[in-house]
Amino acid sequence: MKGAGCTSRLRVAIRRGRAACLSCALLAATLSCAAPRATPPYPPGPTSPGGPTRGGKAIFVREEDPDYLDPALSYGTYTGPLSEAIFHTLLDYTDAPGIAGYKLIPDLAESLPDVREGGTLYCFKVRKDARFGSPLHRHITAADFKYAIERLFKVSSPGVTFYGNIVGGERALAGQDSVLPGVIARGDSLYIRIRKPDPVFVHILSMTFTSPMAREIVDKYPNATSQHTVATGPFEVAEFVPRRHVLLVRNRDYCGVPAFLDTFEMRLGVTALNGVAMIRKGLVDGGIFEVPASEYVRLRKDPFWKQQLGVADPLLTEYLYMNCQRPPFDDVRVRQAVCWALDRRALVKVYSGKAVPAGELLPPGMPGAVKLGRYDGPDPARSRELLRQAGYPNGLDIKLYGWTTEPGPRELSIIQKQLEEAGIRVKLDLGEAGPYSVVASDTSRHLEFGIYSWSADYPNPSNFFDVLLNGKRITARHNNNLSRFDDPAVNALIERALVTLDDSQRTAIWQEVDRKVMDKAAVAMTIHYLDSRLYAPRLGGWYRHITRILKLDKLYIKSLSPAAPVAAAGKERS
Amino acid sequence: MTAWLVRRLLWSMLVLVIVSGVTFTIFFAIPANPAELIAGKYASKQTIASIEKRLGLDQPKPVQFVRFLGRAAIGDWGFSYTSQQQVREAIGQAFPKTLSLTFGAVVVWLLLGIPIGVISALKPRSLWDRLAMIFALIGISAPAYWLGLVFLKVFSDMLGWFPLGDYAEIAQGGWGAWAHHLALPWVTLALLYAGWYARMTRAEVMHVSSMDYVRTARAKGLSPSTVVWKHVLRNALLPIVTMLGMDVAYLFGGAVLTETVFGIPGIGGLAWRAIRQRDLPMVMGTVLFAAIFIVVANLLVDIVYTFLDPRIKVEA
Amino acid sequence: MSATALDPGSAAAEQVVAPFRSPWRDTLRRFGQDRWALAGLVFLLALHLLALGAPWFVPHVLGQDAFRQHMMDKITVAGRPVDVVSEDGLPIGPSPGFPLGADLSGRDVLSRVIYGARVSLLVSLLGTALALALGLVVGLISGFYRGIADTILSRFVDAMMAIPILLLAIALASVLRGGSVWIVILILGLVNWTYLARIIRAEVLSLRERDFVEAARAVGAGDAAILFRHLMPNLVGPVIVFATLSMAGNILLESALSFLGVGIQPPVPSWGNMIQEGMSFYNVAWWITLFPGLAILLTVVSFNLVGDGLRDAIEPGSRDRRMS
Repeated sequence: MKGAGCTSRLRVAIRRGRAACLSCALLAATLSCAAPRATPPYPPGPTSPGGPTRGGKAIFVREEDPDYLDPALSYGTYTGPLSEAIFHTLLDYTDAPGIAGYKLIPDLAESLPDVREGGTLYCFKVRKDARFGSPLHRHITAADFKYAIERLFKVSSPGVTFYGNIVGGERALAGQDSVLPGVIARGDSLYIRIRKPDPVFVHILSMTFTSPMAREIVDKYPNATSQHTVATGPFEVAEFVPRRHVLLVRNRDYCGVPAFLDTFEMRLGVTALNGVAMIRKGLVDGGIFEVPASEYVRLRKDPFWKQQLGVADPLLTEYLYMNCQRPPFDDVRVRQAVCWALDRRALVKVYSGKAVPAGELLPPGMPGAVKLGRYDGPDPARSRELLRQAGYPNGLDIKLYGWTTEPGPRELSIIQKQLEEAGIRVKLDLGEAGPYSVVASDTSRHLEFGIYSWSADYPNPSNFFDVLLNGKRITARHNNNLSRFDDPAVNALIERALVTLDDSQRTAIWQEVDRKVMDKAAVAMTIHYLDSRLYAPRLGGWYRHITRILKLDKLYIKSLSPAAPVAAAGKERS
Repeated sequence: MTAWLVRRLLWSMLVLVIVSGVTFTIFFAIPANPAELIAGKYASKQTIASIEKRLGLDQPKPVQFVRFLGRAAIGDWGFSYTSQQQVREAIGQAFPKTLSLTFGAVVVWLLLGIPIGVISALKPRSLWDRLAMIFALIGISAPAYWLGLVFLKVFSDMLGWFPLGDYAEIAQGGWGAWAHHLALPWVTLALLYAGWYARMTRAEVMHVSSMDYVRTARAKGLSPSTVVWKHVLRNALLPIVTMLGMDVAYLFGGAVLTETVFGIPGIGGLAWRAIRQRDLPMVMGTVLFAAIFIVVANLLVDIVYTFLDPRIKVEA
Repeated sequence: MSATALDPGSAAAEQVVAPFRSPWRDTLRRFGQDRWALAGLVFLLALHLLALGAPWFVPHVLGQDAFRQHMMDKITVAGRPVDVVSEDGLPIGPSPGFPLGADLSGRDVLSRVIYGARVSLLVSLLGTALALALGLVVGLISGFYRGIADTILSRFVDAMMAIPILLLAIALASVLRGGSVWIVILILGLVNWTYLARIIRAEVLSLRERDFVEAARAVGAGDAAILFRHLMPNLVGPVIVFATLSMAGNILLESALSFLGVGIQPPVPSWGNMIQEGMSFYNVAWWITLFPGLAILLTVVSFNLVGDGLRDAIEPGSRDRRMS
């Protein structure tokens, strides 16, 4: 995953915490669709040939160890598939590709919450058959949820700020208290009281942070919870040997839809390059890694393997933000000069073709997106002229912030050269992606100019325009309007779109917003990113869910016969 | 003699304490706050404070150091900051990989270095000698990681003879897969050392050959091969065995570059990752672990030399 | 682990280096007879000239620019226009316009190898100088004054040498951050001085018992006089040998640090960071990593040749010894 990948989970939640009204309609729809709990859609045992079957083992590889196998602490994007398979909570999303996947369904809860008292009290009933996995095998009670949520504050979980709205959360955040009066557990009934109504809160409750924890285990191994996981989801950890593997087996205590696979092994310490070679040789089934650019180039030319490439538009857009409230970027001409200086086709090459040039904010996969292709440069002469008009006849010097994740340094050094052609001399200041994003979103640090990327959490333009460019959403901390772009006309358009019910009308407004922000050069677009993964031909169920990179419990082996035609296919050398 | 041994042992312990102190200082004293290092260059104050609180870094540094030493002495090397795994356990898991890498490489480099050195010494200034010494020079001058990449390109990517790196557990894939995966790392690492051993063997053999007793043996009419095997090699090998002990001890501490290029999860990789992540308990553990081997090897070498060479006086 | 990480071996290192008192002329003559060492010296001289003259040489002779990124440019190969960097991001291999190919940003590899020499040589040279200064001071104090100072310093040196040199360098690099040329020089100096300190200490220990020092002391020469007039000249030999061979070690160490990403930071080209930048493409664009590696190899071989030659010339009959 690229630069900001590791923070996208953070941003998902932050956005949900702030963009409250935008999802009112969406949420209402979600909740009203409170379907009865789905019976397992796939019967156990072999079904149609090549279709989902229960049983078998899939082996995946990745290089880095999971950060933690603890729902309170795990935060890495690539730990996501593991922790989301081990730790489930009250609610989950439907199993469907595309926009249909953004719908909540009950998981460890009996049903979707009963929301009372003007949207400040959420009432859940824990399922009677909800049980912890090995070694406990005991019933999960509401108290286990309460303990887990309170523990977030005790261990300074990276997700703790999302739960500050719970009554008592502010005191707990400040470290003054370790119990949350807002979370009440009575037998199987769990009541969560929040200070102010928040329609997005239910999504926050569906994050793995709220997975129930067994106090007896945490008390016994306070420093080694990753080594002593107790599963609440479809898989449980049979063995975790750091730098070697994580072995998951189907959790028989899980009350929801059981996983297809009997066993899932994540081998650790395998570089992406080796991973690709191993998948091609039929040794493993996939990897939680981005296909390395050098291999992507080869695979794309191969008629067989290019079908096994999971190339998806992750709705990820990358751009340079420019602080519109301070010189020099308070002048629209300076911002336009930056836009005209960029050669986006060169940047696509940096991504080995795994990207498209961006002349608009919305990524091409977004419903209703229109390709505008603005600032189709480079036109350094035009940039210089714009700079001259803005009062910078000799160009200007400024710092450009960015991240060190590949190919960040290469891309930024190319941008640096392109800007130099136009008379904008930048000094690069690169840091690790995660911490960098935190600082960039801290308004008081006044980062003037830097690179950023944004990945959508659900396919709606509001997720981009309202969060990234609505002037009314500029906040002191966790700010996502990094350009501090505040244009009354654009703000008004965005707010109109949010309340427009007619699809085509709304789409038209969003397109108008895109045109307007491009005209005003609110950001300098670089590329829309495409991500790619490689899976073995015998593996099924690897679609990209809208909120999950990969759902391990949905993976299945297409044919369990030993003579699977796997190895032969990958023999040819390119 | 016993007094000398005890003294020597105590000194070695002291050296280990200093090693811990140096490592501790690098990570704790130079930058003001290790939590800040852990959090990274852009971290917010809140993040830093929460890390400090979680890791208990609020105590005075000397106290932390003494506590660490006390625990380390009784075998408790603490928990990793990042993986929460016991440091001892992590080292225990990584060490067999490093051991595998080292032993295979030792075999290869001895098989390469010593015969080349002996033959060179017996025919100095011949074409063979010249070629051998060029080989040795290239061996000691090539960057390990680059040599590894060249081998990977040629033997794995182009010819497809070997995997593109990674480590195969004997328990999982058997001895065949294990050796197959390690073949390129062995050769890479061995080439770097074979050069040293060839040069050293050559020099030692030439040196011993010029000694009086060897000349005497030759004059007595012993066959050249007897002279070489019985008189020259036996004496020339002592310094080589000493050096081997030191090198093996050194490699037990991990071969960072070779492990990185070939993706072997050994001690070197463990240490390198720990350093990057500022995982202090793991850094201390791996550095101390490496240092113990070196210190012990030094001690052994001193003892062996004291026994073998009566000219070295035992300092009282 | 690279050759730089080799431990000199306690036995070998503690060996007292043979005293050196032959006139310089003999030394030079012996060195001049060593054709291999001369070849190494010629290569190094040429390399230094090239490095110094890079800003002139690269544009005027090669007609290139080490920092220009030909991302969208085309060149003519065999009468047909070819992208310097393809749509897939693959740079052009060795070809008429780019004798050693282009790197991932479409920069000329040959020009960058030449510019890389500037950085690698500068860093190694100053790193060696720093190590010399530290090693000399500590070695002299230890050997000359002995006693408690020697005990403390020697244990410290023992401890420093018990930490694998590469680990120590990485640890320092990642804590000091910055990755500027100066930081790398500091690190090279800090990890390399211990070996020289040991040599100097052993040398001084043996020298101070010698007749001429005793004689000087007998006629009432002070410490300073003995140090500078009698000891220092005898240390020149081992110091020169150490310096040359440590240049070889420093080039390897600097490149290893840059390769691991904690050394010289791009866009300043160093041989190590060139290999690091190209490593992810080593299987499809091998020229990006091959040529900087060859440059390291040739340079280190040359320093080793010269160092070996110097040692043989200064200390005839000395046995081969390893140097980190």
